[in-house]
Amino acid sequence: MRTIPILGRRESGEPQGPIVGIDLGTTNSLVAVARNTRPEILPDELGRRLVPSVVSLDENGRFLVGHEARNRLESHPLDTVYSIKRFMGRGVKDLAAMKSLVPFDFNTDESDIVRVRLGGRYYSAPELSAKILGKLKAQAERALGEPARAAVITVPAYFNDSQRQATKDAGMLAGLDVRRVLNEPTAASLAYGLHEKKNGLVAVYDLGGGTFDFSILKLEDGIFQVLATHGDTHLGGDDFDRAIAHRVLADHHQATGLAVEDPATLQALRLAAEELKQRLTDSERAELEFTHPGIRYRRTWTRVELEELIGPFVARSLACCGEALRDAGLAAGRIDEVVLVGGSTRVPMVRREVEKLFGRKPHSELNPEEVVALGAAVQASILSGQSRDMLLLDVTPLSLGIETYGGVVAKIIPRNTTIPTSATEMFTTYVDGQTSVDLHVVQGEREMVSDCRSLARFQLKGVPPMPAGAPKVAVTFMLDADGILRVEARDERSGKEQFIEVRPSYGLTDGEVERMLKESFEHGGEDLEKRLLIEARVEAERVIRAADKSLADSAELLEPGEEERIRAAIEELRRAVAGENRDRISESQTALDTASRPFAERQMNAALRGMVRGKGLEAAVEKAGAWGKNG
Amino acid sequence: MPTQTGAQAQSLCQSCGVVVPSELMLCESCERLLPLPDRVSYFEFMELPLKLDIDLAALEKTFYRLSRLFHPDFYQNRPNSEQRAALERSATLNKAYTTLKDPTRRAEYLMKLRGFEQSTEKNRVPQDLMVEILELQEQLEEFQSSEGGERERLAQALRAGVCELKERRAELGKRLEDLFPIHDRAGEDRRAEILLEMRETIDRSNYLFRIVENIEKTLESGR
Repeated sequence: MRTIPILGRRESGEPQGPIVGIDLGTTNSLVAVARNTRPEILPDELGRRLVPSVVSLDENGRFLVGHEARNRLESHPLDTVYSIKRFMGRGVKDLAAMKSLVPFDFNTDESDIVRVRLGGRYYSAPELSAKILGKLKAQAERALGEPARAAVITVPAYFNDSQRQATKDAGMLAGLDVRRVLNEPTAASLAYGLHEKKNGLVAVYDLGGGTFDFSILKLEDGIFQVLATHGDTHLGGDDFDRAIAHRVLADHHQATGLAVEDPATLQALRLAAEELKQRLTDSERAELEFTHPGIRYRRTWTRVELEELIGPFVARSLACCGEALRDAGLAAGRIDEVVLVGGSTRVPMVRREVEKLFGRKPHSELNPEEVVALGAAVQASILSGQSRDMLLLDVTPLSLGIETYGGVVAKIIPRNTTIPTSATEMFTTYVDGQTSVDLHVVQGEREMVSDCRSLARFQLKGVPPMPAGAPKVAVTFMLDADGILRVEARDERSGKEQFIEVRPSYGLTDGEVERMLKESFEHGGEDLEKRLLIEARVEAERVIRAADKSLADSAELLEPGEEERIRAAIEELRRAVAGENRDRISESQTALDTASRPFAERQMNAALRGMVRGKGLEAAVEKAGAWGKNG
Repeated sequence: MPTQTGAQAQSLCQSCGVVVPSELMLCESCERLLPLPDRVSYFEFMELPLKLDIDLAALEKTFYRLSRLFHPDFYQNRPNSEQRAALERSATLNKAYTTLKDPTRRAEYLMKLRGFEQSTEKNRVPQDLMVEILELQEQLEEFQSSEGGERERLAQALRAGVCELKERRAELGKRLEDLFPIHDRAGEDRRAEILLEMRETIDRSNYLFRIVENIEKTLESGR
């Protein structure tokens, strides 16, 4: 929930680069792009597609992200952060349940959002997620050969407003214009729908590392309408790993009477448990051998044993499916297709139970770890205007309400309402001369405010002093297509917009985001300079290619001596690109622009004449306009 | 495209000056989206006459077609004013569709449009169900303080009662929809009478819903 426009907002009319699709996962993240609606994953320079969602601070105060950071999980457990997604949009009060799961250190101020301590400083979850997004952005730019400034980022469908806003903030801190926060199961359905091109009812069962979502969609001629969604933001493959690790520790304790508390050992055990789980996916039995200071463990595990441990988690996910089916007013048998998404759906028990519930074999033709990113890329291509064939109509996963007398919630937008949507409520004063009104907005299904999730407190200010009950202020609560709340207030008498002050309950304030953005530019001076240099090089190379091409295409329009002047400018720019000086690149590029402008103008005029004869004026003007922007 | 409010003000596209049909407020000439005027009813918005007996499949088709016209996804590269208009228009469309596709909400919305605010006593026990409901409430209280086999017997009786109430609700729902074509054909003179019967039908249905909800919650939580 953010009311003040902040730095880095897109101005319409700005030249458009590609919009990338990002799956910012609990365990792994991916970036993809769709060209002509055909989505593909963008790998790193070694061809690796997954980026581990891990951030580590090294001895020199430098951040390592992805594989490099993952390699430090065991060696530097206190300086290496994983499962950051679980902390997005969460408060210190929520930590109790999560603190024991990870070795790193947190802040303790109960009224604050979660901040992780790294090298003597505290970092919010959006700041750390921004490091991962920055890595994905750089990876995309390397693969694409041009800057990636805008993105669609996926979130669990069951994420609340604070968690969605935190994700948007992370994108902004990474220098990305977040064009859509997209629900993961919906993204997956888009990738599948594109693949299958069928009409009907589709259920998406998405079990990732740390979150579970279930969505039911109706597909009809390119419209993907979500009918209902349900989920659990604290249920995933992590829980399976932890259950295994707990069993190992319990066995060890029983055999030796000793407890294991060393963070590095616990971290190693968690990784060993994950590996055991994967091996039990392919075979019925597997040996777990774990030797670390203080613990020697060796035993053969069977798949049946694993299933006894994870059964309760799978059952929880199936209960969510039941809720969503009930909300959609559908019996499980009505579903035409079931799609499996998320790495944890590789577990045989999960597949079996889902198949049993729906009475049909679930789809998993597309890689369950990549399908969300691919779908995000498809949505990105829709937003960039490349495609109008498909349209997603999503819903809000949680009911939105406001606090009324006695701490009771008055629901104003029920869950599973198609977004965007809005509700307008009238507010008045209770005391003569009262000039401000307080509002408390919550999300959740329970009747009492204390059982729901607090989103924000609002204060309506500047209400004209009048007898109690006389002022009438209309407050509009709008859930936009990201599922993020916007609030506006208007005085019904004067028709004037009313100032509304927002205090998010679990988020960064506008001021904080602004400060972090500034800081990232000041402290990260070196990083920023490096990034700008890369962007300048990429842009210069594009200009060189375009210039070479037009010299080849329209040689007949060249005037005497002109070609030599342009070629010299191109050569100078090539030399600048090979160097490290960004100013020189920029100057050389300007010089090339100047040298080739008259030629470009003649070329544009010629094209325009050709188009008018051929395709009609509008298309020609548009084409010429586009040319103008690209120099 | 039927409209019922007689004098429709025509609007001009602020961008190219072409006359724009006021139900859509989407300039057909330059495809710009204009802010929607106040007080366009959901019926008008969904291109429907002010009638209750409607074709749901056709309503869904209209919903999809207008979604393709108005969804914010298609306005991301437009000026802020148009992005804003698309957001508001989509919100209105979604609300209009949700309201009209549900028979009860559709009827209540039409009553509001017609200025028919008359309401029956919402919490009054329907006379013909009085005995049944009082008995269920008694059983519910006993259930809460009972144990063992007696508790199980009461739970079963309550479940049977809930089933019956649900059937009654279904009948009321059907009765409401039977009234729709009658309402649509009726002249001014009979309209108030039919609206009143609809109001009573809805209130009774809502009352039964609350009872059912209460019993099911208690059975589920065991208290």
